[in-house]
Amino acid sequence: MLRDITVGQYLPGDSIIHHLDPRIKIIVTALLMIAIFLIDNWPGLVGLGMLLGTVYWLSHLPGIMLLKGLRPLALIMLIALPIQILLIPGDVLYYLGPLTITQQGILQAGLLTYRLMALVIVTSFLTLTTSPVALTDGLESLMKPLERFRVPAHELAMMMTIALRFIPIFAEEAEKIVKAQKARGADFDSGRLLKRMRNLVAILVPLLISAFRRADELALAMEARCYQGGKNRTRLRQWRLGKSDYVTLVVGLIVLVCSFYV
Amino acid sequence: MSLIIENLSYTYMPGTPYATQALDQVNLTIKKKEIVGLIGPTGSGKSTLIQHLNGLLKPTSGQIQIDGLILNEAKGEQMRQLRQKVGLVFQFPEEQLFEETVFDDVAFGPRNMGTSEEKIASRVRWALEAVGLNYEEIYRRSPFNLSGGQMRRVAIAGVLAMRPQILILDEPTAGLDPQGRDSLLNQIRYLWRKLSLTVIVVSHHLDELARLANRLIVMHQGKIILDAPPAQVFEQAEILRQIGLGVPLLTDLLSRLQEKGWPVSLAAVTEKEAARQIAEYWLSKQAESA
Repeated sequence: MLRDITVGQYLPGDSIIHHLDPRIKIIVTALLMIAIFLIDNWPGLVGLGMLLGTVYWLSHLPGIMLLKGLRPLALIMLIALPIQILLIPGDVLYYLGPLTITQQGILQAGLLTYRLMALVIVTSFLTLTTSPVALTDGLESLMKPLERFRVPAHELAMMMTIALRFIPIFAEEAEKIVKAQKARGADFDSGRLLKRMRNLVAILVPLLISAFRRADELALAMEARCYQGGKNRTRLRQWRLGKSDYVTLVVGLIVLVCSFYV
Repeated sequence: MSLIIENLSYTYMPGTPYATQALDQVNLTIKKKEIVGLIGPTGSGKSTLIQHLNGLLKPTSGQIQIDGLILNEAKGEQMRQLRQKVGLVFQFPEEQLFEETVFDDVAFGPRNMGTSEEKIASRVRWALEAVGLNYEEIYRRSPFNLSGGQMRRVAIAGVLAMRPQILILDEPTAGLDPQGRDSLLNQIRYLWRKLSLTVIVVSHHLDELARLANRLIVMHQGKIILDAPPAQVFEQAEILRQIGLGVPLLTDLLSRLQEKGWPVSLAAVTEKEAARQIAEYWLSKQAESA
């Protein structure tokens, strides 16, 4: 169950999208996210849909991975959609007691669904096609100019890398602890809420302790290798912008500009 | 409290590209009051097998029966009773300690079982003493301020306090120093004899299992390949080497002597026995040449 975490999951591949410079991918993802919120008419929405379709086609990603990312949205939609449909005033289509369903409400709800789905898909493209290391490399390099204002760009990126690296380890560990406590008769699936919460402590405390222990050990191991932070470090892989990177950036900019005017 | 496993197979993540078969048609019967060593290289299916014995994993196919109860169908209350009967101590059990005091941690299991507080108090004292700890000295302390060896004993006491009839320990000596290892193994054997438990110990150290268990089960790639008393298992030194287990130093020495034509038997499990065999041959040789 815990192994099913797909947030930030990376699917290795050899597509043109996989090979783009991570910095460009981050920037264009940001541009597209802004565009998604600006676009609010039919030609724009259709165009955006076609763009996402093209990226999907270019990336050779299995569609099921994108759908999996959309699953958590279902719960949010379940709450947000009725509110949108029922509470937005406008031309009334149906009366439901004191509530009304309006044409504007339905359109707004549809737009909201579309936007949220597009957001998740765009960010999924980024995380699914970019390895965590490349992603943090990209972020670090984008944050570099901020170092002048004493933003610890390298350290932030390093923390992110470590955090991503430890997600699967903790998932595994949590699973082991759950089993061990189940073997001692703990019941996590039934019983009263209070008892269940109490049982949760039996998982969280050991997990937290092991997290601190691992942090200690990792810090020690880094120090033993004379890790000093970002100063004067060189990289094994240097990112250089290629033709496809520039094309991607230009496309991203065009989409953003268009979304202002369409 | 007999335990019967029939045609047990288990596949991790079936139906995905990551599917791996961890157990393949395992058949095994363990009788009441046996002390059994389960051994095999990493990935041989040992841990998967023992997690089936108290219902943490459900068989992909096959059947497990404990004391007449078919485990595949156990639910709710039955499952709780089963977990009380079959105590499973995981590898590095000290990592599951979480309460503020040793007492509360050991009491966690019995409390989940719905045992009354009076009974719990006596059980906790009994369990801590059973694993060789001084109750008065330790019960009010935080489990996190104990030494590694003590923490492990407290964790084992936490399972014992549920009064299981079958005790399963996964690599109980992993990470302990030789002294701590010997004393824990002695404690397990003592508990087995005194409480007439059925004990299953998982390890990949043949040496320690040979001294501990009366029966050894060797697993390889999800199958049981040997099931016999230690002496007979050691006679199959070649198989043990092939699956990458390595043999105890003593067996290694004896098998090398055998290769040189000495009439020694690999069935010698203890140093004493081996020494006797070697001495006998040596003396007879001396007598010959004299």
